[in-house]
Amino acid sequence: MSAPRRPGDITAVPVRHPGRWVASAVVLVLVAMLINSLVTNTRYGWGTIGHYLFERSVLDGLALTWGLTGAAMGIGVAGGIVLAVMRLSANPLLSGVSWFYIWVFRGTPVLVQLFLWYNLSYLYSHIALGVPFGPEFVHASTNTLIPAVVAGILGLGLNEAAYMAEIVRAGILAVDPGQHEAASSIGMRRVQIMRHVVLPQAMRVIVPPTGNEANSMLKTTSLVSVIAVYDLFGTTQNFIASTYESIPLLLMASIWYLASSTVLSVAQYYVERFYARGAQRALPPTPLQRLRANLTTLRRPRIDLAPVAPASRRR
Amino acid sequence: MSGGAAVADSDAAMVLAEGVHKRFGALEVLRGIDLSVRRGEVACIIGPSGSGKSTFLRCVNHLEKIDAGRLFADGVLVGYEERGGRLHELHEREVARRRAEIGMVFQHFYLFPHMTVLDNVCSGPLIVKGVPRAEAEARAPAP
Ligand SMILES: Nc1ncnc2c1ncn2[C@@H]1O[C@H](COP(=O)(O)OP(=O)(O)OP(=O)(O)O)[C@@H](O)[C@H]1O
Ligand SMILES: [Mg+2]
Repeated sequence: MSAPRRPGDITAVPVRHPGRWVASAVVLVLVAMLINSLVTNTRYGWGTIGHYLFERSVLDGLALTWGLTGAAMGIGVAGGIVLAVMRLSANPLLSGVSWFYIWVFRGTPVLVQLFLWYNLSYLYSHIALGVPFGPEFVHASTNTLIPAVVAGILGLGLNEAAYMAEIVRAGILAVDPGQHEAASSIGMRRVQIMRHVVLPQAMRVIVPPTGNEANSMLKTTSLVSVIAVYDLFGTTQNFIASTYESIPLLLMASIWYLASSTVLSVAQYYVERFYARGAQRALPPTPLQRLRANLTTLRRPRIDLAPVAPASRRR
Repeated sequence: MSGGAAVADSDAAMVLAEGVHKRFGALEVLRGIDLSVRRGEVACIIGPSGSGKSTFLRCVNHLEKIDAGRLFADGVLVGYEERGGRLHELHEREVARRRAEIGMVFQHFYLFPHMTVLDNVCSGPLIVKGVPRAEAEARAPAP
């Protein structure tokens, strides 16, 4: 029997979509109007924006905003893991304390919490290290121990911990209980099971909302300007107070917040990709791979790429 | 599942069950299991679905606590220690140490999906026994 001849490749005429052309035209006109107003309306003050964008104190404020975000998220993630493990503990005291913490910190506005930390010295004028109800070894005034920046970090971080606790708890509960049993059957202990088996798999569920939290935190840090901390927004408000150039300066701050949150999103994408190991056959494409795939065809964006070679998936 | 007559030969037995009972709420799954498996012997436990085969194996690894009777693995009481005529629960560390000596394959396998095949094979020696990675990986492939 002879091999069957291969039929010719399909070359079909694609379906036309006149509605898409109309919609595109409308959108293009609106975009043109926006660009026109951005260029011709002098009140945007592009010159002022350019002048302040790389001003020394603005860059210092930006650095402080990043520092606050990092520190608060650090406290949030670490505290969240501890609170989540406590919440899932069989010990009713531990899970009760965790529940109470989450209840209090999620139930009050973070702005109020920031003011409370800032005014802590009214409740406790000094903080000391010593035996409970007994002698004190060292003590310091609360105001020197907790300056405004530290109050800001504590306020944002401890509030974040309550939200992170719920995210981490959801992640831990999403891991198949059989994984826990399998790990204990080969003799792992509770801490080892958490560290080597449960948390790495929970990360797949934990990372996306955590990235969301970090992105949100980046902008929530602007609240610290109310307790006299000169972050990006605090510095911006300072300039506004002396120059009255509100709109250009607010736009200037927005540009930096946008740039920062873009950087965070890209970082988040790669972290998510890392923790997708074992859960998906092929890793999702990187933004660069996606761009390259879409450049080759104008008609329809392609995002389905060939599976990533298994060799590149190992650590 | 209820026990038949089996030879209890405690000295040579790798797995020895004496009157093991296990219940989940109102459901009594194991009703007096007597069983002895000697070193090197291959034993098959056969029964209809839901008759308690997996439950019994889980008891041997102390993943479930038995309600009555005695279970020995390699001559050692599973999950407890008998001192002064009373049973004492074992500390988590000791339970884990004994489990490390018992091999068990689960009905649903439960491979660790976030690890490579090699890391799955090495996870016991690497994490539990603290064998160096190079040595564990060298021993991993079947000869
Ligand atoms: N953790 C548990 N809580 C309550 N009931 C349980 C639990 N584990 C098992 N059972 C019940 O105990 C009985 C025995 O279950 P087991 O899994 O040991 O059966 P099996 O003999 O292994 O069945 P199969 O052949 O389907 O694997 C079943 O009725 C099951 O529903
Ligand atoms: Mg079974």
